Amino acid sequence: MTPSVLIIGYGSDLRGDDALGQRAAEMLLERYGEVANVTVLQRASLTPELAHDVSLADVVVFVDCDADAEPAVITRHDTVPIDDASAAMVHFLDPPALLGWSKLLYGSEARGVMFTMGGVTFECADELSTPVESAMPELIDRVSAEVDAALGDREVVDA
Amino acid sequence: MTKTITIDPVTRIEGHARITLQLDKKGQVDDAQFHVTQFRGFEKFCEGRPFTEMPAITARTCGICPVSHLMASSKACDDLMAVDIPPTADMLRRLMNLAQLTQSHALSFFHLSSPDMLLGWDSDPAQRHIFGVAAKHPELAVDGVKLRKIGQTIIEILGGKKVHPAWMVGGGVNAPLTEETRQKMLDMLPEALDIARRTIKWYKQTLGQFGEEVRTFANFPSMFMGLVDKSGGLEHYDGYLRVTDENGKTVEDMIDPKRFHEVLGEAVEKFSYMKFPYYKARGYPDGMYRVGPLARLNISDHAGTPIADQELAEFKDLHRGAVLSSFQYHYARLIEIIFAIERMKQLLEDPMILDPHVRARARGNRNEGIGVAEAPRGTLIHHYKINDDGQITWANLIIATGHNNLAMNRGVKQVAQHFVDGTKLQEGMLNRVEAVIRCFDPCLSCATHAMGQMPLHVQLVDPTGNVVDEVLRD
Repeated sequence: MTPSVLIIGYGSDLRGDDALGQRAAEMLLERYGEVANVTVLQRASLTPELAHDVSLADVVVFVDCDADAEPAVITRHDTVPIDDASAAMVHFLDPPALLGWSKLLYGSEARGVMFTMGGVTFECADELSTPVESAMPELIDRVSAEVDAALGDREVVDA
Repeated sequence: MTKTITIDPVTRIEGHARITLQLDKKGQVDDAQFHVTQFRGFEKFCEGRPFTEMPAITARTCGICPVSHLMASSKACDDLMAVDIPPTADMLRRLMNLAQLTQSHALSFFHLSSPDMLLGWDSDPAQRHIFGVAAKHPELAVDGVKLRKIGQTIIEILGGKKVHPAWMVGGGVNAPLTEETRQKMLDMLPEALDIARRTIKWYKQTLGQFGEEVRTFANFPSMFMGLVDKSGGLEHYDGYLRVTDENGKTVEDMIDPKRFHEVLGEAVEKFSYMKFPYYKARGYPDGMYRVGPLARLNISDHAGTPIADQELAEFKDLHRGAVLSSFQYHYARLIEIIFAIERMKQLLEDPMILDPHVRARARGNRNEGIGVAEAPRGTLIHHYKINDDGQITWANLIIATGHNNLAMNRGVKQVAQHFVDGTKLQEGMLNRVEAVIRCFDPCLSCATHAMGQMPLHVQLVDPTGNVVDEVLRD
């Protein structure tokens, strides 16, 4: 059975490069919009109700900007749920807390993967910086490779 | 010798509010002040912008209730354009407002306040949060997540996204509903109603455990204000202003909301950036009134939907005249959720909701416009003036939380006088002081919207500035 994959690209779309997660989701939606077992969500932040969406997935791929990383440098790492999410806030969560929240509420065993890319500017703006914009195709390729691998390398069920 | 206890911040690390408790010579609370220390300046930097941008700009006032600002702002723009919006646009705006009410009330009840009720005000703050609730009562936490998601999803379906949807505009909305999306929303409502009904049943069964909190959480005589429909029924989008007194007697009725300034005044205090609205006829500060769910149920003769009407009748039996305890804001929220779900179903089942004519178009035809709607937390007023080029020359926003400012201050004082012992600071006491503010669910962006180990800094300070006792929770 083909696993189901949830992609969540998030960040503020009014804060320069912080929008790269949402922009990536937009581009990935073009690629996977017709694939039945892939769901792509654009969000300003990770909110508690996403726990339910996470619970329906086998693999969750998060895409976000990293304010502390070198500009346009892409990083991939596994994300594991945290058991004690007491420091998490009500209105937004980080990926480990969201996975933990979904595990606690729904028994989710979703595997989490996080892709980040370093940003350049976070001032009020509705466009990405040139370095980040230039690196977006590479980010999309790397996320797509992860998604395709999760789907079983081409065992994609078309809607 | 007098002392001061300061709770600073009331909220998360970037907190915007604090509480000062003034002690008398015996160490008892003599006075309390709830300070809102954030300054936003929205009314000022809107000046010069085209009025058509106001819904999108003012929605950014808040990430929690942008829909409410969209609503009041769009209505103010309707007024500036001097148009009657198409009936279907009216229905669609109501639909989004009710979805907003549902998700916001669900957040307040399940995520913010249920930890206190389920785990206890004296419980370990490290566990007293929604995750603690999930560990002990997973079914309630799942219900909270699901109910909020239903409200958010309806907003997203209508507006294209959950936060800051741009679908509502002056003159109506910018896209009609399709049969497919109508059905999608209708399909979600039965589950939402089931959740709301079992939650209110649980609340009523457990209410008896909270007798002391009911008695002391901002439980005092005050006036109440909100919108009612033309039959005196519960209203959230349009209608007329009604003001009732502490005995439930109507003192102002069927006031055109555009005449709000005839009954409401605004005062300022040095200790807070939040304004202090008051009922003019009684003056300041005697003209204290409350808005929001508790007020709306107190002023309404009926709800207008079957189950909510039954619940409202039961609610009104709590106290003759008016329900005065702010603890019952929680109860009122649950009844309003039921009303919202029932009303959304009625709206979606009306064939007219699919009419494609959803927007009236016009330029600015008046130089002054007022929009009033009920936000989850209470009556929200947007008041604009424009020049002949349609640019904003002046704006005034009276926010729902502001109406409750006097009552929140009084409530903090009441609960502090009951629970605070000036000689010894305890966690349960501090949390109750915060919890009374949570009853009002104020939208200070963050204040009291934190969970878990809410950072608190409480100091007992003598007149010479010496700290005589201190509790730090971070």
